[in-house]
Parts: sequence; C-alpha cells; structure tokens
Amino acid sequence: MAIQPIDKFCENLNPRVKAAVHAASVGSTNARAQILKKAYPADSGEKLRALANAIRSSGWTENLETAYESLERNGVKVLFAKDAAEARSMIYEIAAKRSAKNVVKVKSMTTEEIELNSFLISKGIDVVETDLGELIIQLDGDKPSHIVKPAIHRRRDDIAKSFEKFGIAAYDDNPEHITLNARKYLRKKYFNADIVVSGANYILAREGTVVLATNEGNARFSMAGAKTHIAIAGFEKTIPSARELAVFLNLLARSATGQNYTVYTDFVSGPGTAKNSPEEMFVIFLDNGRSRILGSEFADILKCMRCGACMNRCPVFRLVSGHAYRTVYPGPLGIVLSPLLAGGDIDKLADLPKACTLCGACADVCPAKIPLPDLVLKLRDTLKRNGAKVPNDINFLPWSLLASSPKIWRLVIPLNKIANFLPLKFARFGTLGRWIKSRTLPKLRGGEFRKWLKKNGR
Amino acid sequence: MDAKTFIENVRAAQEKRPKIQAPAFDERDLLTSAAFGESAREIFERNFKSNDGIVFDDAQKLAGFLKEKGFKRGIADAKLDDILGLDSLFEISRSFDREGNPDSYDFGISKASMAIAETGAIVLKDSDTDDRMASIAPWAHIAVFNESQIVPTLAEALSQTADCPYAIYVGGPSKTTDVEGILVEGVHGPGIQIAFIAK
Amino acid sequence: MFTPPPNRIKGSKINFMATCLCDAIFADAAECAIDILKRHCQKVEFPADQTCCGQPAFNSGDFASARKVVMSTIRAFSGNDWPIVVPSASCAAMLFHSAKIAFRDSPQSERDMVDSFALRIWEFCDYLVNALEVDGIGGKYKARIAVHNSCHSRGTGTPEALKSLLCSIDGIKLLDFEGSEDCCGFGGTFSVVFPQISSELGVQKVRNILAANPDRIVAADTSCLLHQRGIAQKLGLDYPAAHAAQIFRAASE
Repeated sequence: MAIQPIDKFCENLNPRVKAAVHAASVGSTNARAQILKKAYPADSGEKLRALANAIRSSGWTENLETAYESLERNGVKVLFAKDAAEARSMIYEIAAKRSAKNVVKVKSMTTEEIELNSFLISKGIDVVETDLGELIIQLDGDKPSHIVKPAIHRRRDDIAKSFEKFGIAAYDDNPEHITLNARKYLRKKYFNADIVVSGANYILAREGTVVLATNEGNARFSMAGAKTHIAIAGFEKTIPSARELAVFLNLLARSATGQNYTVYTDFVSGPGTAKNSPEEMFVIFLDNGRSRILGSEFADILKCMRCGACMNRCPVFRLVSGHAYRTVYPGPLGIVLSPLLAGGDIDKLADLPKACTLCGACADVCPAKIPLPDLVLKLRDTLKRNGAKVPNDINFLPWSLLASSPKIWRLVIPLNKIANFLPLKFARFGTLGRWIKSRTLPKLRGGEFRKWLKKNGR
Repeated sequence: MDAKTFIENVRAAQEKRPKIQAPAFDERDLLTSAAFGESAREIFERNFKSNDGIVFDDAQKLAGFLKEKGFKRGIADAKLDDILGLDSLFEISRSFDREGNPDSYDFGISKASMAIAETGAIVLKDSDTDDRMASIAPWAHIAVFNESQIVPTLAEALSQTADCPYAIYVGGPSKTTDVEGILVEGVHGPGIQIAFIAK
Repeated sequence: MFTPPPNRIKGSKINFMATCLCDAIFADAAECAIDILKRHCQKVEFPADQTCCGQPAFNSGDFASARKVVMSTIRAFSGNDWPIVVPSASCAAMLFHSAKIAFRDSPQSERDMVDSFALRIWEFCDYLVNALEVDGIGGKYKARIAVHNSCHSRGTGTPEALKSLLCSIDGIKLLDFEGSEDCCGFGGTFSVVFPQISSELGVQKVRNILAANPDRIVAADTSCLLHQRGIAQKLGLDYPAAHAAQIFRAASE
C-alpha cells in the first residue's frame, strides 16, 4: 500500500529493528527531559536554548576570520574546501605527501557527508573507525541508523558474528566482551596510525581551538597515536570563544543522551607539546552548500549542533530509523538539511520533507530552537515551485478554487452526504483507498451546521 | 578553494541575513544545580563519583586499592614529582614504552592541571604532562592535584583551558552504550578513573 | 512552537469560524461551540462566506493555493474587525502562525492583511479562558476523560485552557495515559501520503488512550479525532470521541 519510499521502508522494516530504534529514541527523549529539569530546575534550560539560538544568529564571517587567524597563530595549517570532492582530495593529498597508510577516524558526520572513507580506501589507505558504534557499522558496510548512536539497530549476536568474520575476535556476544575486544583491536590501530581525521563539535574563534566531545576516549587516543591530525568542519561550527562554549556544552550531551556532559572533552589548539601527540595539525573548513544555505531562508538549519534530540523525538523517525532517509542526516534535521545540501540534486530528495506530520515536537527539544516545522513547510513550497515530483502528491488547486468561491462552496458541501450512500469502504486505490485501508470513514454531514444556524435564527 | 574566496562567499551570504546583535549573558545564568554544595572539594567529589569516578586522598589507601586489583606495573608521568610512594610497592616506569609493550602498564599516574567542581571533571594539559599516554593507555589512571586546584564552575574552567595546545576534561572512566544501549565502562580510555586529591 | 502573536484582540462581540471539517462532517461540534459562546458573548456572528483556513494546501507545500484560500477567508471576515473564534487548534495555528509563511514573498499590503488577521484569531478554549475569562463551565458530567492535545496546540494556551474548563465540571476525572505528548499520526494529508506510518502511529495512540479506559476522548480539534476514531473502529474498537464543546454543552444542560 505504501508508495512513498520512506513509508514503504516503514512497512518492510524488521520489527525487531523498529522496536530497538523506537525504544532507544524514547529512552533518550526521556533522559533528556529528566536531566534538563535536574540541571536547571527553574526552566529546564530554556534560557540556554534561547542563548544558543542567539549566539548562532550572527557573526559567521567574523568568527571564521578570527578562527583562521587564531588557528594559524597556534601553528595549525588551515585549508578551505568548497565542496566534498575538494575536501576528499585535500585529505588524500595530505596523506599521500606523508606516505600515510593508516588513518584512524573519530566519529564525524561531516566525513560521512563528504564520503571520505571509501575514497581513501580506494586509494589504498587503511581507514578504521574508532567509535565502537561506527566500527560495528564499518565492518560489514552497514550504514548508521542514528547520528549519535549509529549501531542502535544492531544486536549483540550479529555484532559478535561480524567481529568474528572480520578477524577482530572469536565469537563472544557479551556486550562487555565485545567492547573489550574492540578495545584490544583498536589499540593496535592507534599505535600504528599515521593520521587521525576528526570533525569538530565546536571551533573556538578567539582561542583557535577545536573542541571534541566523546564518551569512549577515542578522540584522545587517536590523537595520542597518530602524528598528523586533520579536523574537518562546516564553517558554521565556529563560535566566538570559550565563554560561549559554556552555553553549548551545557546543552549538547543533555540533549543528545541525557548525560550532563560527555566523559571527555578535548580542546585541541595546535600540534601537541607532550610526547605521543600529533606533530602537525590541519583544520579544513568545509562549505559544500553551507554558504548557499546561509544566504537562503533556511539559514536557521545551520544552527544545528548534531545532538540528535530532534530525531529521538520524531514520531516518524521512531518508526523508520535513520536508514529510511537515504542520506547521512536523518530525521527532522535530515529532511531539511539533506535536500538543501543536495544542491542540483534536490529534486531526488523531494519526498524527504514530506515525511513529517508537522507535529512540532522536534522544535520543542532542539537545543538551538531551530523552527524545524517552519523550515519543512518552506522547503515543501520550494520543491513544489521547482516542479519536483513526489509520488501521490495531492493536487490542491481544485480544492483551493472551491474554497475561495463561497457561493459554490455553500452549494457543493451539502452534496457530500451522497457519499454516505456510496460503497466507499470498498475503495482500494488512490487517496480514498489509502484512507480506507486502516480507517473507517465518518458519516458526512455537509451543510447541516449552516441549516441548524438558520433554523435557530442566527 | 583559497581562503579569500571562501570567506567572501560566507560574507555575501551573511549580508542577506538580518543584522542581529550577539546576545549578552551572565555566567551565573549558566550555572547548573550541580554547582552548589558545601565546598568546591565536596561538590567535585559528588559530581565525579556520580560518573563512577573514584576519589582518594590517602596514598596508602590508594596503594591498597591498586594492590587489591592485582596491579603490578605502573607508568608515572615524568612531570609528576611526587608519585605517592607507589614505586616501593609496584614496578614503576617513568617513560612510556610505545614501541615495545604499550599494553603492559596496569595503571598510569600523572599531574592534573585543575579540576572542575560543577562538572566533576579533571583537567589534563600538555603543559603539565610529559607524555599523554600515561593517562590514556592503562586500564586505570590516577590524576593527582591539590584541593586548591579545584575551580568551582565550568565557565571559570573554560576561561583557563585553551591557553595551551591541548587540554582534556576527564569526567570519569571511559564508557559506551553502543551495544544494545547497555552501559560498559572501559573502552579506549581507562576503565578506572581515580582522582587523588592532595592537601 | 505554534505560539500565537502577543496582543491579540479580545471582546464580547465575536465572529465564529466553523472550519471546513465542521461544515462537512462535525456539525455537532460547531453547534455546541456556538451555544457555549452565546452564553458568554454579547454577539456571535457567522459570516456566511467562510470556507476553509487553507491548511490542507499549505501543509502540502502548495502555497499558491493556500494563499487563495486564506485571502478568501480574510475577505469573508472583513465585515467587522471583531475577534474570530474557531473550534480547532490547527486552524487557529494556521491563521495566526503559519499563514504569514505562505505570504513571505507577497506584496507588503497582503502581508499586512495577514498579520492583522492573525491578531483576531483564537482557538475556542483559549478564547473562553484567556479572553472572556469565564469562570469555568460548571454543571455536571460524570465521565473519565482522556484529553488528546493536538500537536498544533503545542506552545499555545489551549491545553491549559481545555484542562481547566474540563476540571470546572463536576464529575469529570481526567486520565493519564502513555504517550500523551506524542503525535497520533494524522498530520492532515500525511495520513494518505504516508498511510503506513500514519496508521502505525494511530494504532499506538488509540491503544495508549484506550488502555486508560476512558468514557470519552476529548480534544480541541476534530481532525485528530477523525483519524483516531477511524483507526479504532477499523480495529473493531469503540472510540467515544467528542470535541470539547460537546462536553461543555452536555455538562451545562
């Protein structure tokens, strides 16, 4: 019955996976609410959310320029990539110049957006994801189903099988042992790593600092193992200074997982000065459509800090998982950002902004107060004006003509009672068929209210 | 792309946005309920322990704890002067053997630059450490600092953090819930995180 | 999310917007709403040229069609400048929050009309409590009631107003149930464009509500109830849904 790809995905989704994603999302949503109430009893963090929104509402150029200066002053080599292809080549060139063979990755949605891993691997470079969830996904070519918890759809036995198949460890499906096995395996990778590639949760402009938030400690171990650190981030990740960071750090983990803070927060302001630290550091600022978005009516989406609260809360995401969205960014974030990043290919993703009931729950939990439903609506308008085709889209021109002709409306509406005598419940196709499949039809009573009004002398 | 063009693209886009002033705010607005308590030390301990951090202030008790765990070998960072007499009970290296046997250390001990009461975190910096590995590689890590090094709030800590090439906030043992959402401690970083608070 | 503009106009002479759903299906809800409003207002007008708020076209992204309908609605209510009360949180949200998005590229004169119009729009329960400041509904109605707050009432005064009006009725017991903050999956045209997801959400909502064993399921929106009742009946379950106005009138009879 489902025609839309995302609806079809829901229909075909393994019930076990659906239940796992649903439970994890609901759990994170509840954890977020609880911890915000605990940390900020007076307003559950509302003031901070307003601040996060406001801080990200200006100064993109100034922050970028300041960050550029500060980073260079700190001995960081700063590069600018206009798109995914350029970013990939830049990173590859850095590796090639150093005859680097082994790259370790700190979890970064940006690197997935530019499709870095497969590119480097095609050039003969070994790339290993160090975040346990991302490692699990990487092993068998799976895709992340959530931006914060990428392997939430996987079960311990299939992870253990995967570990065995790819030579990580003998089969053992105890979660603690799985983790220990990954720890053992990755240690070797850290110590042999030439380059560590990470994203950036935030970049502090004044101090010239890349901030990374992890729970596993994989960012810090990667940087202790590798000689060269490359951090790549959209330019919008830059915030004015460490002072503003307090606003964001107080929101990030609470919104994402319901923790107060991630276990580790790394502040990287240049090559290390201790032993076992990177000798050189690169920061690559990425555009890839972001400046276009900044200049559009969708600029608000650039305030996103990739916490995942919106998708945890989304009724649609909870039933389909990240895999349904066909793009790196799923859920409410993805249905706005992915088509916008797609540039010329936007029409291929025209169905994404439709996968939303406009319930507004996402906007209620977004730490940066991004008005997601409004952005979804504007995007639907943009796509419609582009003439983008979405399966079974309803044409509202006839309806609008009827609804803007009051006399005809008054004439036609009472006629709907005829439908009560038609065998509509046997409809199998079209809009009506899709309603009837899972719902009964109400009794139609067109014009009765107006008749009652007249009778009662109004 | 060259820096100038990239930045110009951002500037041109920004011109289309309404001009909004950066907001003013007070650090006090950011304070969480966890920032309050009897003393900075008490607040730190409470918050650090709530993430399974372990606190010692007695070198003998610490040694006893390490012995109980069956630990034999430790790596003490070269910049840490007072290693709490641990070298009399354990085999202690002062330099991390990365090439030979990097997994041979049961515990590491190094100097912390400060601690944060509000968040229950220890701050490690390159400027106060000889080698990052002592705090990363072993199963247990002991961060050593004085009570006077505890700063009360996250905001205050942030103002003193990015003044060196590398700093890290450590809030407890490393952990993950990537396997079926089940909490496991000890992933890449230590599974046991200790704060040793000297007077 | 769907916060109304501050400083909406109030008054005891009002217009009533029935909504297309009541015009076509839920005549009862509109009748009850008018009856209640008549008791607390000096005058209740029903401009005959009203049709629809334009939401169906707007939510589908057909802003051109939506604009046509919104302008027709503005014309229909141009006979006076009184507040407009509508027994639907989603129609209210459309007109006081969303419509201006459809007109964002329109001439200033049209945008001004939409902005002024927004200041007249009130959802029914919100108007009773926060504009007319009625002292409850009073009367008696013995029932265990599950309140469904429609998604479009998020961020508005409607949920609180609905709750306080129900609580002012002797005999009503409000029930807690799981997932009360979660969307029921109707989403307007979403219900037929993503029927699988819509029905799974509907089944979840219906099951959660019925698990609390309500005598009545009450909402300030008939649209969600249309979907939930349809789902429940298809499953062979009774779903005694009612618009808030129907409960208010029954209590005061």
